[in-house]
Amino acid sequence: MTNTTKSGDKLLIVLLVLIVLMMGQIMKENVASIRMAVLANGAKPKVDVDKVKAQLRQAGLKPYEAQYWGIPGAQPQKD
Amino acid sequence: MKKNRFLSIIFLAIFCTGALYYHFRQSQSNDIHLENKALQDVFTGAEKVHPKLGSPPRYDIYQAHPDNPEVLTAVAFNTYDLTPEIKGYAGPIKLLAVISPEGTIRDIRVLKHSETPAYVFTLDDFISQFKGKNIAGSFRLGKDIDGITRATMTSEAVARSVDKSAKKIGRQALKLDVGDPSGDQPKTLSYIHIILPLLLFMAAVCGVLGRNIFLRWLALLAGFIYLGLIKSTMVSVVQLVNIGMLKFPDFVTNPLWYCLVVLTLLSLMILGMVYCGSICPFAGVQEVLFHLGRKLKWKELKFSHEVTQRARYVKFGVLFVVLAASFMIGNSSAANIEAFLILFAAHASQAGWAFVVFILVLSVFHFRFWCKFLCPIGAFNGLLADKSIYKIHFGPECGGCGVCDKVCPVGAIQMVDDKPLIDYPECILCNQCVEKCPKEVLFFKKSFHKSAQQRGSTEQDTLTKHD
Repeated sequence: MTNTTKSGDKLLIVLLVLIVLMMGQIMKENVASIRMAVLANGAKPKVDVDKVKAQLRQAGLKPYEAQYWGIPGAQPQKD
Repeated sequence: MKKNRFLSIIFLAIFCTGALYYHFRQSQSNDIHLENKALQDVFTGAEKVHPKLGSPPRYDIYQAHPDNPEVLTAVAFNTYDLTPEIKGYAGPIKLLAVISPEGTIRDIRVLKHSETPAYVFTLDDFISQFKGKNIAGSFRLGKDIDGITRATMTSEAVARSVDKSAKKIGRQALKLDVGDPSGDQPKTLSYIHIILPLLLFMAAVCGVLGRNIFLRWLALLAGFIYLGLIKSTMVSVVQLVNIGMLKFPDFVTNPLWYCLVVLTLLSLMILGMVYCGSICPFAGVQEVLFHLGRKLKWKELKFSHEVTQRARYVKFGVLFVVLAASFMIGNSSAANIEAFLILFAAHASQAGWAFVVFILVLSVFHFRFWCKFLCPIGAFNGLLADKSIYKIHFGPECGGCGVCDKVCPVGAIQMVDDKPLIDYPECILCNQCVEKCPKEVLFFKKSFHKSAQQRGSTEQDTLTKHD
């Protein structure tokens, strides 16, 4: 067996280990994606935040009232 | 060969046990607990959900006022209960839809589906388009609803199912004037998707039997364009899992699925790896990349025969793990790891794309790297090909020159005691050995002929010895 083939063999083992790990990661992601779709987070409402903010401003509301929307559980400031 | 028999036994054990386990679990469970879970997510407690009752079956949801009598606020139902005839790519898609008494879709949740994950990555976004729509409106794909790219059958099935079931509930339960379903046109069988795969397999088989390299490349090109680019449908381990789970698509809407499965199995049982060798779109891509690498004179990656033989077991390992995981989980999501599905579905996470690019780069330096070491469906096909009726055999005039061993691009031929030995599960029927044999002693022949000849010669040998 030549040195080139020997080093090639080592490379093949490293490559296969790496690829199998990647496949494991993809499998994990796929299973998680199905579970997420099927269980908790089914269809999410699509809200165009910028559009709603603009509408709020048009309605005479102050801009700071909209700044907490992105933070889950945050409350608007009280005047 | 003993190792192939051993691998076949392991495969059968995992497949049969897994399928039995899956069906046993299915018989123990029903959709009610999934529906209840989804309802709990949608209605967080202020509403009172009545048990599933009535015809059509539905959940009535009331807003409980302390002073006033109960007021109906929504109706929820499993779309499958009302439209069991509508199927996606690989079986029914069960959704829980919530509709207000005025006929507005308040929410839709996925309960269960068998679609290939690579094609339905954006299912959530697709389904969210229905929210806020009135059930009296139309749900035509491409006009009222944007479909999922490369998942038209899934998109159509969801749109038709929501449309038909919601209108039924609207008319019968909510007494609304909602009209007829918009997209519920009767489906007709598309003969083109029966004829084209037939022609594809015929070209591939003619290429194999006629030793015609042009026909082989033509079939590979046609497979790449038709199965890869146009239909994004390939023979994959996902189909194998779905067969085990008895999840079959509707023949009228998806005849290609049946044609591919039947023709691949037939060709495997008669000739061997016709699909892998001459049709698979990903194999074509890999071969082109490899030849490109040779044209550019890039160094080829070479591995020793011993290590290559052992590394080939990796694909069997992948096949067994994927099958076991899929049956344990109860859907084909674990099976969706094949590089070709990611490439042709064009939907993947960053890890998925990195994986595909990695495999394609390796294909430039080593002939069919994916097929040789990793492809799980190739491993399954190989096990069947080992039992094919016709096989390439060596005539008695073989001098053991070893040319066939040298020219075989997949290393399926090994010289043992100056006699070539073919590893049939690895043979892609490229005919390189047949073409290059200086004595022209390689040819297709029925397997049992060889056995009979061997038996005959052994008997003769025994007789001679006795004499």
